[in-house]
Amino acid sequence: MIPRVFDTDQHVTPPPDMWTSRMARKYADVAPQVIELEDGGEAWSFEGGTYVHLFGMENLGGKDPAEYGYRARYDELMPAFYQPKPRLDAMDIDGIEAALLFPSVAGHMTVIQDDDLYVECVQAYNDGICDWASDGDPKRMYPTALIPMVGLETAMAELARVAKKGFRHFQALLSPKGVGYPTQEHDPFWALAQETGLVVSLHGGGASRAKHPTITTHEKKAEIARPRPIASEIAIASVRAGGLGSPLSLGIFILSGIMERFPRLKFGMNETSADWIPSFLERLDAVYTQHRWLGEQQLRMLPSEYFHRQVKTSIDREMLGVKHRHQIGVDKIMFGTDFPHSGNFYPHTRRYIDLLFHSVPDDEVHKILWQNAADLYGAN
Amino acid sequence: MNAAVDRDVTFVMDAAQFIVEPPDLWSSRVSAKHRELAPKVVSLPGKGDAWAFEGGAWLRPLGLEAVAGQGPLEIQDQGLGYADIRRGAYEPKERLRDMAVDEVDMASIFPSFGMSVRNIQDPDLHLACVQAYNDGLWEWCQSGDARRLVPQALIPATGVTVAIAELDRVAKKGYKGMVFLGYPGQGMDPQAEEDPFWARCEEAGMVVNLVRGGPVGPDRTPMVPRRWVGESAGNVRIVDTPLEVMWAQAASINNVILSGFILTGILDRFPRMQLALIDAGAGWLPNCGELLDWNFRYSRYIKFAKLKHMPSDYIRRQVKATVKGERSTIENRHDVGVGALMWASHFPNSTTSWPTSPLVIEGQFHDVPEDERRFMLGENCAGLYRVMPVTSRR
Repeated sequence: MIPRVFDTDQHVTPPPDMWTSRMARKYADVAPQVIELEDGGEAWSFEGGTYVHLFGMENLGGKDPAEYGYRARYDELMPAFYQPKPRLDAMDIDGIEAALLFPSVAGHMTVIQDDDLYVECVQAYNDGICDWASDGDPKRMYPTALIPMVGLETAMAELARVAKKGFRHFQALLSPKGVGYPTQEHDPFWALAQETGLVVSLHGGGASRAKHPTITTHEKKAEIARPRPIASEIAIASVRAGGLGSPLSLGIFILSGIMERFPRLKFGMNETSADWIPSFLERLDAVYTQHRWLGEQQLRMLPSEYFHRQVKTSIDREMLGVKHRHQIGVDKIMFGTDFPHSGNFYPHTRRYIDLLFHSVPDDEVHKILWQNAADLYGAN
Repeated sequence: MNAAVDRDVTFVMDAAQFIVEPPDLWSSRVSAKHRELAPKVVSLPGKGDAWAFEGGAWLRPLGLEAVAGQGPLEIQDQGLGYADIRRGAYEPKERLRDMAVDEVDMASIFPSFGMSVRNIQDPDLHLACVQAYNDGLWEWCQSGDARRLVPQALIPATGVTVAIAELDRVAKKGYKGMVFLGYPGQGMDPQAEEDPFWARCEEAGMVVNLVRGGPVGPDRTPMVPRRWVGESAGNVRIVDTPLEVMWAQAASINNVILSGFILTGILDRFPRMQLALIDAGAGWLPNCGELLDWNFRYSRYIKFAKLKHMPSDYIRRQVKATVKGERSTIENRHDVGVGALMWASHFPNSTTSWPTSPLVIEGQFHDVPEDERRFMLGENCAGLYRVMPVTSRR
């Protein structure tokens, strides 16, 4: 059997005119745009050069690891990284039928300091990525909406707008205000999310607006020639190795009571890996049960039960998640490639899948590679 | 005669117990010039006892560190006095009695309030408090039973020379393990200048313990809830983290320091050095290993140190971790490594299995063959810290 594959972790490198072609003329200087660097490479400039982002490491599908680096130029990239039709071709080559499209460069809009500009940029991105998927094939491409984090009303307005546009999921956020943790004040936002049926996608954890220095990939313009400090590389490797952001965000979404108060709200975890989940849930249950009367409100179920009711997680590149699939739950695991980020398998994903699932029964393979994601994200 | 005496008893060494520091631990040991600012116990009117740091700039009330034996309806995170808590929390002979009740033979002893010495900014005071702690804990264990209570030293994170000097001092006393309070050079990540420190750790056989995965980042400013900021002005950051977030943090996975030790090559350059993750979970280690391998495989050309092996090899060779009640981790013990797991009770803090550890162990290990059980319940821990197993109940 050749399995159908739903890739729950692809990224889109934005076309160079993603923002400039959509935002009003008055934003011409401050809209995210591509600039030339002295070394002949290109970079994304935010807010008029306040932040400059080198995008080489996000565009490595099929490249020799010895040639990996931060330097990039659009005319040297595979068109599939940033153009919809070539992306479909790449998906065909790699045996991918449908894919979620997460941001890459666009995820860094959270560093824009001016609130109005930030909201305009987020809206332009949502319009742009929606058009991008429509130009490709909206039945096979499921772009991620981003929600601006400047306040409850703005967040709800954009959520309603993207729902109407046909988005099926949005990037998780810890607070519509951009800083702090979930409180019951935010309930109208989650109520709307539940009502619209959009899935909350925790790609590596919940987003927040506050600049997080240990995982930032931005460098001040004057310093872009300097490689990133090793500390931030270690932090990135740690997050990609299942630490920090994902478990913490999952724990916060459960214990804050959002899943209890909105039982039909669904969560997907993308590029988070899965094998840490069982022991994490046991620890979460134990901490919660012992301390619950110290808090102001109690949950009606164990923390792990909310996970099993409302969350699906995914594997990108791990044998152990497949080996322990019955512990995690065969209905709980989805699959992703992380194309075109560093370390993906393109164009050999089929071969990798064969190895990963060589001793797994067909019905379980089908659930993990297709059905669980198709059910969650509403593919036919 | 108790029937248990005749039973074939498995040696149990608890890999994570905590001392609730006796009230005079610092005040009776630091020199006169530091006495005012060294940690001391203060009574809060109607609110029990609290430890006051840096002359009362910030407080940590006696609470969840010391509530062993209390159920979820009783435990308090403040409002307790030393008179209200189990004496086994702070008196060594009483500790041994509490261990006997729980059928625990030996224990590795970590700090409760001593962890906050990390946040003392003045380097002289910082070092004085570290040394007083190390002297005090050593004497505490000696006056209990030196064979059964195994202390873990603090090492200051205020400079490489100071760290090496204190490491040599505690190694000479007989300490077998240290608590990592930050990279000794005070940076975000390991520095080459710190290699002499790691070399000394390896040479002295000093285990590097990462409590809850180890503190991340060089910022040592204390983070204190508003209500525990003292009246005297001090350099503190006020944080009001919701309880739910703190619980999620407690269960979460902190693999940053571990990744740093691997990817910058410390474990490669010092192959006999041992790391122990204390109360950080263990079930995630194999997953972390395979994903670090993945990251390393494609990033090694531009980012990380040259390594002779893959990251997961260093985890298998040089990392141990405590496990408490996580059944899934025991089920997956052959992936984590039977030789890497060390059972822990966390006595006397709020998450401890005391006084029901024998039942918890039975529930968790009931289908585990006896030879594997022995490793995880005690022999791995005794071997790691190079102490002689003493079975108190035979």
